[in-house]
Amino acid sequence: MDEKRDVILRSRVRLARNIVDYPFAPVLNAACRKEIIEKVGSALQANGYARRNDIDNTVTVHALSEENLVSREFADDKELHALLSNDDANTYIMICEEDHLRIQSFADGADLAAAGKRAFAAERLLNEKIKFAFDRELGYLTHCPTNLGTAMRASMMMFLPALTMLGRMGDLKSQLEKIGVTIRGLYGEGSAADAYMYQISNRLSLGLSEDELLRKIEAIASRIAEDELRARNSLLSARRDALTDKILRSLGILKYAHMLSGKEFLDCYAYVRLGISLGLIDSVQLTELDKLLYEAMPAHLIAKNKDAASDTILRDKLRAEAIKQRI
Amino acid sequence: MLCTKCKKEQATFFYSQNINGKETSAALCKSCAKQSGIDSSDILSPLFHPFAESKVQKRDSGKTCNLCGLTFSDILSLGKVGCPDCYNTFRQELRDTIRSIHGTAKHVGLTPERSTAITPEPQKEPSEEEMLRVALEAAIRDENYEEAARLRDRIKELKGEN
Repeated sequence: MDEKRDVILRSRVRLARNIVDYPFAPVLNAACRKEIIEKVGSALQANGYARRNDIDNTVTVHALSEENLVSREFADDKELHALLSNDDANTYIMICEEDHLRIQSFADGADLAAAGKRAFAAERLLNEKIKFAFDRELGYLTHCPTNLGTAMRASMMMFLPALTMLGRMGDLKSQLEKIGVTIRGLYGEGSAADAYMYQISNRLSLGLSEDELLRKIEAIASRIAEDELRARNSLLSARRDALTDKILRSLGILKYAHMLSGKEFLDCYAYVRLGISLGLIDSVQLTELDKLLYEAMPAHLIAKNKDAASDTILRDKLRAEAIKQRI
Repeated sequence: MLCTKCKKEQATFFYSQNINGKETSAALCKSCAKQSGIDSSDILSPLFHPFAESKVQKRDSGKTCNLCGLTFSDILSLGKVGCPDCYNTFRQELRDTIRSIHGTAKHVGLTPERSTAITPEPQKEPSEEEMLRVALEAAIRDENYEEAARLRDRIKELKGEN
């Protein structure tokens, strides 16, 4: 198994684009929103992209946001907006989010190059038909000045339990900050209940080319992954019995619990994931376990049974069932 | 003035836009502005305010953007610009802010005219010197001269080793 797959779960490239002669989305009226949605839709027609009509369903759109396929802001937005996705379900285009267009492409594991290739393939199709707001000096123009230039965010989702438990995240964060890179907790700020899941991405988008930014993030993530793997081994030699006990108990809870809260699930998920990586658990596949990261989330459970929206006991029971089906 | 949307609360946000000669304007209260996507937390919280650390002087030349109708004061209080044309209308006023965010105000990447889009090359690890140079730029930008001197010495050392 690729050891880095244990640490880097997913790579994402997000591009922001705006269309000339329209104000930015937050002050855009419904008529202009409609025009933009039609322009983008027709530019991508016959290129394997389809409009997702299911986003009008609040539960569905929040389930997409739990998988980070659309932003939380997009899922919550009540104004007219649209989503396009491709046949391979690895590229999603949010229309009328903060910027007119947010193109997001994904790749499994540590593969920013693949995610980048997909995002720019979609952008190239659009660029042939639509005039994007661009300035020689400032690059692609965005609603927020922090996204100017390439208007690109390259990010990688990383599982860093050992670096967190050894108290090394604070230093790492400030070192990265100095070189224009951000690392933040995906579900919170780095505790067991946050599944030790982080997202690393470029904070600055102006002054470096797209290729340079992609290479920079991939190289930095790769170094962090090596550190994490080393830290896991030192953690295991320092606390073998206590750690093994915690990992196997977590597996027991996931396998046999009748009800599980979201918080308890993430806590157990993190320890079981670490256990697989350390070779202490071989009965569970990492790929199966990782599917639970979405399937055990609230909107996914409510999509299965709408009563779970108001009934938390039912939701916790559904979560426990979903987990048992995977491990 | 009352909010033009709910007609109940006092309006605190004002905007107008002009698209292809068609002008619309609105005055919104805090909660209607938030519903319309102008998140008041962006405005109230300095943490999310891209202009928070800007050394730019709050000055307003009286200019308004032809496309969206914002003035530079509006942009400062919103923390975001209203439309792509704002960047041209307020180029001088925004330059320092952009430089303070990104450390530069010069785009070097892709342009809309390129005939072929980028396809990233296989990853090459940046050398220690490249990483140190990035950190050095950041230190100078942050006016952390002690750190900058240490990084400069380390780069010199590396060059000596090669």
